[in-house]
Amino acid sequence: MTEFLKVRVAAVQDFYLLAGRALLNVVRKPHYANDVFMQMDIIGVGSLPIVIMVGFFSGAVMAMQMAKALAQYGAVGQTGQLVTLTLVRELGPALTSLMVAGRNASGMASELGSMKVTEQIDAMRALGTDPIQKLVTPRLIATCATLPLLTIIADFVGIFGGWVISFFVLNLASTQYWNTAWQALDYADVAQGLIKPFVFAFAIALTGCYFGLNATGGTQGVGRATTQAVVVSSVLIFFLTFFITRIFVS
Amino acid sequence: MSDDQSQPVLRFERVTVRFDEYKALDEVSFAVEAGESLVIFGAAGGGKTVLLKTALGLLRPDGGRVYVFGQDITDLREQELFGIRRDIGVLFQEGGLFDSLTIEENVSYPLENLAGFDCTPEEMHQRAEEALRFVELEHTLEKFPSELSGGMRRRVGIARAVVTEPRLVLYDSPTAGLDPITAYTIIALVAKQRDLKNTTTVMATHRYQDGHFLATSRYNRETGQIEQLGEREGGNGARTTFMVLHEGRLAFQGTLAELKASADPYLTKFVKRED
Repeated sequence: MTEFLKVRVAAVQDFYLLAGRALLNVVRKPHYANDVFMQMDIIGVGSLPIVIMVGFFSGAVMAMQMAKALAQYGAVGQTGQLVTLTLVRELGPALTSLMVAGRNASGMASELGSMKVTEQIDAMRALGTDPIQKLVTPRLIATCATLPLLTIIADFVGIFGGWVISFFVLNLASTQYWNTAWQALDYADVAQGLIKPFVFAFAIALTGCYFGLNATGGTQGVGRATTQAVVVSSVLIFFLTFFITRIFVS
Repeated sequence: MSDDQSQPVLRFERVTVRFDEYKALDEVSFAVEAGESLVIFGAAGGGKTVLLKTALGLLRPDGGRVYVFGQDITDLREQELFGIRRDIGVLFQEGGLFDSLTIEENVSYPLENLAGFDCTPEEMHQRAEEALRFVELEHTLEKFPSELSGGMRRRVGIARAVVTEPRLVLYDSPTAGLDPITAYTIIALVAKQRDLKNTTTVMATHRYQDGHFLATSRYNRETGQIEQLGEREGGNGARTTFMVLHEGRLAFQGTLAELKASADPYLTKFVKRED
């Protein structure tokens, strides 16, 4: 039991040390701007199709479900309001982050894990490069920069998906949908919707890099690291969204 | 940074490295003088790689002290170690070539990243080409590691290890998993680098014939050929020491002749089987 706890506590300590060093490197030289832009392309542009798809269908599904529930109170006209609030506050950030976690935390863990087991990380250190500076910090910056932007896109596409259902299936007037959607939003909702993906970005990038850099045992170890990265970052997203929501609701 | 030329190039003082309860190195002590070759024999899991990584500062010992070029590196921070690593070349067991970089970028990587070289892109290209010519792979500049065979990747690894003209070169199982002809090519390159540049060489291997070759051969600058010296007095054999690691402990330390003469059951089995 003591051994079990010791291993877990050591892992948490290592994770925080990695996070601290990665953050410190943001202001430390050298800066690898090319790597940051490359990661932004991989994480941001690369995730765009999947984020748009998920955003659209989640908005459409929300509109259908909400309209059915609202019909009991004769308030189908409020569909736009509910779709928008749910998407901007909760579903947009969570679903986008889960997609990016599945796509990029796994990518980071497998890429860094492969580098670790083939001694490329050791080679990097031996040849004068800090792997955290070169590999972790650019991924962290890129995820923090692109995830809120991806969330904004997912939110908008989701609201558009809700409008498609409202207009073509529920026969609501466009102006009614967009007016209720627009008026429903408060600054606090937008702030909540943007803070969440920014915080989730830390969880995704650091978890992916942490498990990658700690991969051991050849290709099997890389596979294990990849799975752990996706599972842990997904759980962290739900855990963090609960706390952030709690703060905003309070 | 202190750099005492009279000090051994590499010195371990009762170094212990632990992974949880397992001792990968157990109170290992040795020293390598400038221009000497040290061959470290040992079976898989014997601690060879751990020893080399500890010498590079990639692993921190749990006990004892490590001195490189006379400087105690045991407690140095990563950034401080970069200055020491500037003078150390290393060939990793897995090659350690960067998959996403071309061969030229791989070889010029230390020139670009290690402090103090300040090479222009033209100089880096020139030096990378020169290092690749040394391993007879100058035609692979634009290729990626995945396009090369295992032996070629190992040769590129040697080119990258020597491109900075280091004073100390560490080779981790340079011939592991290679066919006998390619293994000969690799070990001949190790000897060539040592004798051309008078580099201090530390080579970990599980193959007895690699160490034997290093101790009994010399690269002749005039003929450009490797020649056999035998084990005669004054040959490379006198400047090559051998160590045998057995489960992290130093089982033997001495010359080739002493190793051959040893009656220790483990050493006898090791030497006789591989000879």
